Amino acid sequence: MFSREEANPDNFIEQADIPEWARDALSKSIVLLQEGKTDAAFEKLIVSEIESRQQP
Amino acid sequence: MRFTRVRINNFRILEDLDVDLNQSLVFLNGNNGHGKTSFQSAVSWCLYGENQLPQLDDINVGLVSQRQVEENPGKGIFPLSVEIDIDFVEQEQKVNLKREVQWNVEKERAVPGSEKFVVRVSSTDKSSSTQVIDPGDAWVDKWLPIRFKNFFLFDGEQMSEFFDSATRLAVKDAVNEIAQVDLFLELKRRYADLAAGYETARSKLGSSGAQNAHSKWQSQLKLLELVREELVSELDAVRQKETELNNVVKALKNVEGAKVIIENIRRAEGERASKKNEKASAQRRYEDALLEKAQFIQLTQVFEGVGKTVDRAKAEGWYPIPFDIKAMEDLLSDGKCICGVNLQEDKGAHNHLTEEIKKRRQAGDLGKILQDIFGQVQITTAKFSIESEGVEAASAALDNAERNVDLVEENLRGLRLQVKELLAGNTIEEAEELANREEKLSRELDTHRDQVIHLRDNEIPRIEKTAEKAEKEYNKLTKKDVESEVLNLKREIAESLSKSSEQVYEQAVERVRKALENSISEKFNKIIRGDEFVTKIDDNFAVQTLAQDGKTAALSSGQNMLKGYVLTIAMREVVGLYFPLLVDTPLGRLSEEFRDELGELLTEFVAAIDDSMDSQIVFLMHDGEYTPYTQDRFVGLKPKELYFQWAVPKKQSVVGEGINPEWFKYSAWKDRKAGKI
Repeated sequence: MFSREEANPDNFIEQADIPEWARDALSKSIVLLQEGKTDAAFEKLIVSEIESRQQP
Repeated sequence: MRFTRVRINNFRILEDLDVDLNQSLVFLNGNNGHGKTSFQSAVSWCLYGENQLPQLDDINVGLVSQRQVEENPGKGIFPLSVEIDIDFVEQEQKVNLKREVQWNVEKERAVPGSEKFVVRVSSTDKSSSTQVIDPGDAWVDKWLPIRFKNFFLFDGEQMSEFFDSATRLAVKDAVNEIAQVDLFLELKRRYADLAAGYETARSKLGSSGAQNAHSKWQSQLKLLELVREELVSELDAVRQKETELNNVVKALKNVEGAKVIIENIRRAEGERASKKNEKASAQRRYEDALLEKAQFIQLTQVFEGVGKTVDRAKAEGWYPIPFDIKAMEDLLSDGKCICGVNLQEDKGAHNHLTEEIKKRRQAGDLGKILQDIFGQVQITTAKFSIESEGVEAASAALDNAERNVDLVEENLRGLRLQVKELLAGNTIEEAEELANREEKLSRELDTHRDQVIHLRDNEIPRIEKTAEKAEKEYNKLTKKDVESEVLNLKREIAESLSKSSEQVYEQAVERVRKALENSISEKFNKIIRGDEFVTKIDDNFAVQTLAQDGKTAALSSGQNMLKGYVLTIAMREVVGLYFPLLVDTPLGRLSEEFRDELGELLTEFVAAIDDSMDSQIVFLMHDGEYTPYTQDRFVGLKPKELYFQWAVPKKQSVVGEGINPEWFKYSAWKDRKAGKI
């Protein structure tokens, strides 16, 4: 059974067959979305992902 | 969630109703026309307002109590309200919903005023205060959204039409809601918009052409390198030509000097020839003199003999050798001697001469010969003396001539050396040829110098400027490329996240759908004995029941009704809908067999209600549905039994507890009362 508590976004993200980095990014994105953040916050997250990819 | 209490004021025939529903299973029974449908409509109106009650328009019934309107024409305002108390266990809340509207009754006509809908929410923990939500639609939209109304507020007699498009949409909405589709769709859209924005920004940067710019830059650098090489080459050429020209100029100057020297050499050579001639002449003279001297030496021996002879002749008196007697005689006759003596006057001399003439005459030829020889000796001796001097002079002259020749030779050597140095090993002809090249070399040098100036002052700065410009352009474009690359990377990530968002909700929807399918299949197969069905929720969210062969099962109307109930319950379990199940005529069209099966289903459902998933079933049943047999099916669940009763004096419906006493006139209830059932 999917209760509303169990059917939280993080659970679905965790269970989804998507890249690991996207999992983390989407979890953070959900928080940004729920906090009503603007595009700048999402862009920051994207930039952060780029920077993490550029780490040796 | 359960409805604990419903209060109704002037809603159709329910003028003053206060019903306690605080139990998991409530049977609110009543005969047709006694208020069941009005009760359900009142609940529906409270939650969603009049516009969500189309069935009321169909039967042309107004909301406000018609009796009040009819009996009190022109009496002014009648308040209409429905109030529901809810125990929202899952959210630990107590909620009160109240919708009200003032009706203005003018003659026999009622005109509604503006509606007011307020929701009051208080937490069940002791500390919290009540929160008023006005209008309360937001709360209802969140917890009892109208799109799910069909799953808790429906008419059992309409269940044959349960699986229509509205239900499909409701299933879709419910599944999407539990799968958080809206949230992930918003993320998908958000990231898609960002990706589009990045792509737009990137497209505005345009095609950079950095590669072309790089090629241009590199070609300019290559050109610069070549031109610089050319400059170096030209500078070398200039230096070489300058050297050549210097040599030529120098050669030109030297040639003039050399020419003078060469002239001197020629003169010296002439002088040398002359000196050599002189030397040869002196040599010959010297050699002649030596020869003559040698001859004289030989003659000297002769002369010694002659001398002796002369001495003897002198002794003998026949010497000196007589002069020419005739001449001596002429001399005597002339009287004058060449020696200045006057023979006429000097008798002695005259006599001597006469004596001499006499002697000579006496000496005859011998004397004469001796005289000649002696004369010759004297001449030779004189000549010897002269010749000896000549030999010495000739020797000196020869020495001098030899010295002169040596001097001239030395002078020549010096001159030739000078010429050699001046002409740097060249012949005078070569030097002259070089000199002739001066003009040509000057022209060539000027050309090279001009080229150097052109390359240095024009060409190289021009190419450097072009190269610099090309480099700047390349750097600019490269920078643009970097920017473009970053935008592209951002776009890729945003697109990936958009895509991942989609994947998350698609997979979530699939899981929820699968869970719903499994739940429906399990429940349905449990109550429908005999057949095994498989439930599939297709892409359009139509709930399909398939037989074992995979084909759509042909369900009876009763089976379809049960399937509807199964779906509503499965929706509560799987999708997490908290709604109470408030069904009018829930068993109306079910046969006894299916009523048993429904009873089994609902018993299980109610038995599963616990604190974490509180729920409620409120069945509004007429006398044909709620029979002792029905009662028996649910008796283990200890339902709350209520009934509507028509209060004749007031022309309104009221609610009583237990079984409507009027129903005991029916045989079944009589039998139950008699203990026969």
